[in-house]
Amino acid sequence: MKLWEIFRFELGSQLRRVSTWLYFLIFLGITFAMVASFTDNVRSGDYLLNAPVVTAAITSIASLLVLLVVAAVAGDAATHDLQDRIEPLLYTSPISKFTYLGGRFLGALAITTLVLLALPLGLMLAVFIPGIDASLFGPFRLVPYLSAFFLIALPNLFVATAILFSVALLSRHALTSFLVGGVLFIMAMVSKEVLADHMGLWSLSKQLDLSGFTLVSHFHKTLTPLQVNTELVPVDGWLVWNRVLWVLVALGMLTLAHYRFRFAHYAGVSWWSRLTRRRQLVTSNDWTAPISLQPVHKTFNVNTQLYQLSALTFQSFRENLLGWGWMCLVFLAGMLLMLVPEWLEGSLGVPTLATTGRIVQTYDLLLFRLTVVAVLVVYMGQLVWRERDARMQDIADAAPVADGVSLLAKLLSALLMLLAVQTVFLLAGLAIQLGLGHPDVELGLYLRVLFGLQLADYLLFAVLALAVHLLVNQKYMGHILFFLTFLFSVFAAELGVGQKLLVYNADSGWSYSDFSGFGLSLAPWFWFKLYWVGWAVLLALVARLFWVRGHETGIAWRLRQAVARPKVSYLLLAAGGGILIFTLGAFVFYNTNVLQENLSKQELAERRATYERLYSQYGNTPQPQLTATKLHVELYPDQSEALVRGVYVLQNKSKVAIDTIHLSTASEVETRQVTFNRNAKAALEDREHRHAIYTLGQPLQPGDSLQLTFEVQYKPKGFTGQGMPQAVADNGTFFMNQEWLPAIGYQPSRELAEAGERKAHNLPPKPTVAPLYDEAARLNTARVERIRFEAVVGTAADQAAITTGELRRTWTEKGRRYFHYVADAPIRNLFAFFSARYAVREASWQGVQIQVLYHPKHAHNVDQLIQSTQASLDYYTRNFGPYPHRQVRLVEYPGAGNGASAYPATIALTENFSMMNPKEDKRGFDLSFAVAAHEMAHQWWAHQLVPAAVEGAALLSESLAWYSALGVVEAAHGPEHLQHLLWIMRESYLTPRSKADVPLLLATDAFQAYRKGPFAMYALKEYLGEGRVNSALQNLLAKHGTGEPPLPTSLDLYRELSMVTPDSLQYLLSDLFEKNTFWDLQAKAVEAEEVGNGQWRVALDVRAQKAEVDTEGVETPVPLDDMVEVGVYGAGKDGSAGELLYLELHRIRAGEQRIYVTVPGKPTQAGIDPRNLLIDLDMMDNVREVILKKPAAPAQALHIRQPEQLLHFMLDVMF
Amino acid sequence: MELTIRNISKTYPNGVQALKNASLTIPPGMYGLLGPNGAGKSTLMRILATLQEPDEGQIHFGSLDVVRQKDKVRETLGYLPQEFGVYRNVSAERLLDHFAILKGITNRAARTEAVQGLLRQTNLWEVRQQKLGGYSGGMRQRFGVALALLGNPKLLIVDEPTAGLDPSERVRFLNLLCELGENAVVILSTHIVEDVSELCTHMAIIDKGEILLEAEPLLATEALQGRVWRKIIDKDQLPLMQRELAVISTRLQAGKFVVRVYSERAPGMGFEGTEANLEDVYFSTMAGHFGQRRAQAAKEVAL
Repeated sequence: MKLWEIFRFELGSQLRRVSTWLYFLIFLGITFAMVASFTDNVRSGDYLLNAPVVTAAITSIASLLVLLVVAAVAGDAATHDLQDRIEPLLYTSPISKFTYLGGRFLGALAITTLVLLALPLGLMLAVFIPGIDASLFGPFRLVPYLSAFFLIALPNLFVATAILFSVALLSRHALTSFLVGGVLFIMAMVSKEVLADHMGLWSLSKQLDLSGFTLVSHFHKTLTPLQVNTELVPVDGWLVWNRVLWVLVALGMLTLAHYRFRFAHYAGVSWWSRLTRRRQLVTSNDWTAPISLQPVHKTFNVNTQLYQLSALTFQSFRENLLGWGWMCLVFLAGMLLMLVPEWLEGSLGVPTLATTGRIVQTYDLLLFRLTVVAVLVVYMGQLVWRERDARMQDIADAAPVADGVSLLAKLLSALLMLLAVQTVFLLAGLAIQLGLGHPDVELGLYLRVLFGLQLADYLLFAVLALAVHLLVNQKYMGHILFFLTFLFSVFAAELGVGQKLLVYNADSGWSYSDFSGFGLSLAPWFWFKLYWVGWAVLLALVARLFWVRGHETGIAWRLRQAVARPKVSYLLLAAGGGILIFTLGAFVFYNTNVLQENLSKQELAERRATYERLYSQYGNTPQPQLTATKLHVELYPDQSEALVRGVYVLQNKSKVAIDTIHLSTASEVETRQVTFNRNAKAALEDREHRHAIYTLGQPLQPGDSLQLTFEVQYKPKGFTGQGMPQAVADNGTFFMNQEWLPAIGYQPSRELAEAGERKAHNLPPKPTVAPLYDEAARLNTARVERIRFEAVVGTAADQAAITTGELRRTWTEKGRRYFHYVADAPIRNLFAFFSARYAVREASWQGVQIQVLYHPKHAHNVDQLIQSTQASLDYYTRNFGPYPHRQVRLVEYPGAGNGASAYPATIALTENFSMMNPKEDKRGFDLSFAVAAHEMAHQWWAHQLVPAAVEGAALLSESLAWYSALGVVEAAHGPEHLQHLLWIMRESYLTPRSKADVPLLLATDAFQAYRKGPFAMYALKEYLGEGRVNSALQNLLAKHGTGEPPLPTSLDLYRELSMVTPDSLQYLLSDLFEKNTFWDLQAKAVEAEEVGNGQWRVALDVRAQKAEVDTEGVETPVPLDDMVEVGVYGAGKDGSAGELLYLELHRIRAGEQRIYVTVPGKPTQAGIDPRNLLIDLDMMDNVREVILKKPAAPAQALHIRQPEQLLHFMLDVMF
Repeated sequence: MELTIRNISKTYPNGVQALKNASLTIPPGMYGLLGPNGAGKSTLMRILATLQEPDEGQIHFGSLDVVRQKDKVRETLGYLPQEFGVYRNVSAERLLDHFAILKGITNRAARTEAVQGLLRQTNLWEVRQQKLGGYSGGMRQRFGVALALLGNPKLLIVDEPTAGLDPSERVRFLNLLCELGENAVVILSTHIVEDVSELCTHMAIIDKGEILLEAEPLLATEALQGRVWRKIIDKDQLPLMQRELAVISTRLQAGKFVVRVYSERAPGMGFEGTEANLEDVYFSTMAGHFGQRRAQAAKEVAL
């Protein structure tokens, strides 16, 4: 009864607050915004906006955002009696602790629940919101909303409210609930972004993620197209365990709070004060001092104001830092030391060089920015409310301190806090670098990023936070509104606001590379920021005008005051800010939207659609084929400009005369002076769609050739919202022919690909990739035609310019260096240009020159790259066919990503790839070596065997390249090294994925191309033998390696493989390539018994199943009668499988069966398919530890194991 | 320097009229502002302390316009609000030093001297290093006094200052105020008549936003001499007295009521003449026998 009364009172008082209803409205808005931001995903994924999984995802994200509201409401409920100083009256009332706390807690829970009800309401009403495409909604079903609300939202809310209520109660400060709320938020983000996405620890993350987003995300990835619109998030062990874990934590916190709470006057007895016990605080009553007041000298001038400014700044900084700020700094330091080393890891978790450049780039990750901004806004709230929270505002406000001084002091105090935060980043960075053994610390770079770029960014947010807090004049609402503004600035593009001038503090970003430093990225960044400084001045002015002082705090009164007494200085400031905004705004706009063509996504799509509508009619018009390219390239690195003059030789390889030539020009450059060596005139020059049509005076007869000359100028004008194009950089130029040079004929690659988008633009449906059986596609050699190639490249005197071909001559002319390259054999029409101040290391292999060109600081991998190249040349020429060139160059360049790419006789390595440091890898494999071998393999698979652009093409290029690289790794480093590499590569199976898929022969996605394909080829090699598989590949290359149409497809590969496969294993070939087959192989129990003579008899209880899964996800069990390896291993070091005792193929049927083998040694582990050759999503259960049978008590051993296993399972599940 | 208040009015957004056309002239020295709770004292004090603005009327402190030139006024202002808190994690000395800077004492030596002097004057010297969070109510109040006196203000506004002080502290504090009042305007709001009678050279009585009396305590008491009558009665006689006579105050004394009434002539009924005191001035003013209310009543009758 009393509980009810306290609950009712709490509820009533919160319901009467405007803020409660504002929270509700804010959440309604957030829900709509989130639904809108899902539109693109939904369109491309071809599912519905009200699919249960979308509802669940939005619910889990929203229940993370609601932490802000929970912190405000629960923190208030736990502390407002203290704030209102009514606690002496309440504590002496005849109520129990349980009643009192229970009522308060339930009241807070009811309010947060009310706010969160905006979520299902918003989700259900989203269909009526203009701007959200209603056609993306399926029929209405209530169950998904109920399921998401009761399984995800409500438990989250309970947990969050309980924890934040408890910590506020225990600490007696509402602020604590904000800080802990921030920690919960970051924990959830870390478990999804770091544990799951980055480290692949999905199970752990599913367990730890309070929001449930990891669970939903995992579930989404495993959904088949058939299920995606209907399936509810399953109530399985994961969900239950996650919920139970967190509810237990919450109940534990509540219990602790209940236990520690006292109905008593708080005397400040903390462990700290107990440690530092002081003498009692009384003053004696003898008034010895004579009554007299000394005259004092007071001065009021500018100096005084400076004194006041520094006193206020340092005093408030000291207070906050000692009060709570230090906890944030410690938390931040811990977070950085834990997460940054993870983030620095390269592909597959390979260690990398912890260079300063890479560390400071991780510091710009959203997770860290979010943390800093959260600290900043809480700090700013504390500053703005400092006097009022201490109830000293009357005394402070009556002090002779100008409002401007107070305002500036708060900003400076925030600056001090930011400096402290950035110092933590700096120290953490240094610690990480030294810890990872990278003593090459670039202090200057740290300072420039942390105390230059980032500090400016955060300060602009600080001004916004100050203005928001002063305008709103309600602490928690201020926090929430500012935080939403920040999130909006981060996700503006997703919410459809593409114009960065409209998003506070948006900039063009910056990038850093060891090659060119910040390169051209700083100038646009600076202009954007200067523009925002203009706004910040206005915001500061608003803050000044709406300054809260004295007892008149109503917004209406402050507004009247703001306009009532205009001061010249304010007008000047406003004018200054306005001038900055208008001039810089105009300047930026001129650069991004006038000089650069800034097309929105819709406009871009519209243009592509129009291109298709206008010119697809010429798609089948016979065009001459490019047979030779001769270029003169002038690079001007210091001016970021380039000029290319080119000559194409075009030959009519069709059977009809050609009278028109279609030319597609590139968007990044200006193409001009297009001439032919025979009479021709331009019939059409469509600059917008970059398509030109030339009519030949004399038609080009079949077999005849003509020459086309052109000039291409690269001279970026202005900058974009993403910064400056950096193809030609001061140091580290890189571009590909396709990016700049004109192409012949209509370009189907420019068409809209996505089904939804095509429909929206009224274009006929078209498969994303041409079907495997499209015979016409096999005849299309556009862009992959084989050409003769020659280029003269000029660059700055201190740089080396590189492209494909033999370097014939190099010379210096007018202070510039020139390089003349001629390809020694025809190449596929794909080449790149590089120019930088390179260091070079040379080697050779049987007359083939090998060069590695690298940044002088990135020399640590060069020897391995050379070894890999030599081993590759050796293995590939022996197994597949000759290498067509007399040189190969591996060239580093500053580019996005962390991979490498292959061009004819040239391999481009990104800077991040060079940063990998496999020597430090404790897992026993060298990824740099393997990737270099993979890229070398492309010199055969992609550049000699050019696949047709149809489904399954990736199998011929990427899968064969990886398969070949595995062979090189095994040949060079041995089978054990290979097994280590394979094991890590197989981890991608642990990433949640739906089983629904096309067979490998139709492979298009990265998983199939880079993992499933190579694994299938590798399995085949182990079943058939390396010689047979490689001879099939050799045959394939011999038959189809000319580059002439019809181009080969995966069917040609299959045919060759089929020819070398014995009849008994044809089923395997079919399972691997022709069908989407999954095996489920499991060792249930393994026992062994010594039979004398050192011989052991091993009994394996195994279970086996096989199923086919179609593209919709329908799983059909198929009969199993397969040859599967059975292996037994002896003891190895520290628990890993050791010496191989037995490995043979056994015929396995479906279901459970027992296999006996006898081995010549004491077995420790045994199982079925121990090398995971067959595709099995549960790889870990194939092998099991052997139980040694002791004749005395065989049964007991089994019993002892079971609880132990159960314990292991529990630990696995929980941690 | 004189503080002149001319016709100020203040109405809160909720309709409560806290001040109605109030005018006062406050000379240097101690000035007492007497009035019951909710009379508008604190509003007036806050307006004088530049924390609020009147809807109309002017306030001048010497040549300074208190409403328009807040910054200038604050340079010579000391203010002790009725209710205030402190930053809990700071020591008294440190916070006092902090405020000394804010109050323009920029010279370090001067500041140290002023701060230490005040700590001794307010008897906080021994606990000056302790965190303010651990202070008792009285210590906190004394700290507030120190803050208010910091920088020897020319205009000192103290709102109900003696509330939390014990008797010896109160005397000490009032002495300090007197010391300051020798060349400053000190305004003391209180509902304790003794505070005013013991100290103030001038006073005003305020109720429901109106100034009822502006006078010097001694003269006002003098003016009332011969018009206050006193009698000890039983409880059951009280209603009759209240009906028949202008009762100023009743006080319990050993179970009987001591009734004091206002009357131009002897009221008879066993009342005897007694010496008027400031309390009589206060109560008779509040009751309308004296000061502004009487004048108004007279006007209304005349109409």
